[in-house]
Amino acid sequence: MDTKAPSMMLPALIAGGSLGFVSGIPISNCACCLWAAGAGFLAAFLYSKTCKKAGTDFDTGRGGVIGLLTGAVFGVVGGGVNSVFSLITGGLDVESMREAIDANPMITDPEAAAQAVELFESVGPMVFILAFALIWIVLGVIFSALGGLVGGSVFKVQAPPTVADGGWSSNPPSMAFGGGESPPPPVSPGEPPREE
Amino acid sequence: MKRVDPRARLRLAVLTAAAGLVCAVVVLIPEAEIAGWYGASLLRPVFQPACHQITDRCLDLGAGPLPVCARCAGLYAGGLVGLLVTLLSGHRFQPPLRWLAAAATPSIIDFILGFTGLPTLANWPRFVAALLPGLVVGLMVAEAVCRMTAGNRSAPAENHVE
Repeated sequence: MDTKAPSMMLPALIAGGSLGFVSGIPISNCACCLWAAGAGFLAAFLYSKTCKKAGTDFDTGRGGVIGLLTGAVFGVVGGGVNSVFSLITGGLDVESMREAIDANPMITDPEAAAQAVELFESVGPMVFILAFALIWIVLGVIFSALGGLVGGSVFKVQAPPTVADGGWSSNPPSMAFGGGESPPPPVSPGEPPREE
Repeated sequence: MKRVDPRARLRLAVLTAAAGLVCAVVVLIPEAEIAGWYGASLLRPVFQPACHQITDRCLDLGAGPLPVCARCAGLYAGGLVGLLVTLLSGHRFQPPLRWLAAAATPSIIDFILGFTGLPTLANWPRFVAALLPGLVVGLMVAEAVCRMTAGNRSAPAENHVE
């Protein structure tokens, strides 16, 4: 049996792409950390199904890895979609940025607000878009890795032994026998042992 | 109940410290703004991709609104508590998925009520409701770290079928 692990790209693209798209839409911008963690969890679930079919192991460590990969996809897609929406709705020109900062009661410090507007005027919207996308990717990777870790723990898959009788493992012969020799072929219960 | 092995405990300690740092930053941003630390306001947008940051929905501990909403604050605090519980007790709790579903039910109901325009929980009850799923997720992440460490250590032995 081919024990090569299946590619992680497809589940990462499906989970990270779809949930990243949804979280990037401003209307669904609620508990976004859960979208990212959910993407990692979903990717782990999808990958565990693939591993089960392919007869390979899937454990927590791999869950974390696929979570990282999914988080990167999630961040790129989410950041991209959000930036596109900001550009379409005109939220990234200086005047609307100034209005948004003035209207935002969360920015309590007027000096910091003035600094933010000055910074925005001096660097332009593209730098803000890139910085924002970078933050999105970092947060996506962190939360998605956590989701993938949990998914790997929940949907753990152990590869079945390839031969029931005799208990040969599914690992390469060099690991199972230590000498790189091929294991003997399987013998079914009713069949007489072969003579070499 | 399984015990946390020493190597996993070290990893858990690092993860818990990171989670504690995030929670500390969330709590300290308004305090730093009050103290005249101008850079603190520029840290608020860092949490923007992770939270809507609607001011009315953020907890105010006396120095101004936190940079994340009450629900996100509850999730973060719960996650930190879950990691701390595993780290300090030295026990692996292994919560099943249905615990998470049960713990998240109040927050999901509150979210649906808010989405449909019906009256929702106030900020502090919303924080408490989100603590529960955060706690379960924290326990699950801690268990995943323990399993990952155990898996790395016993991987060669598991390659052989007895």
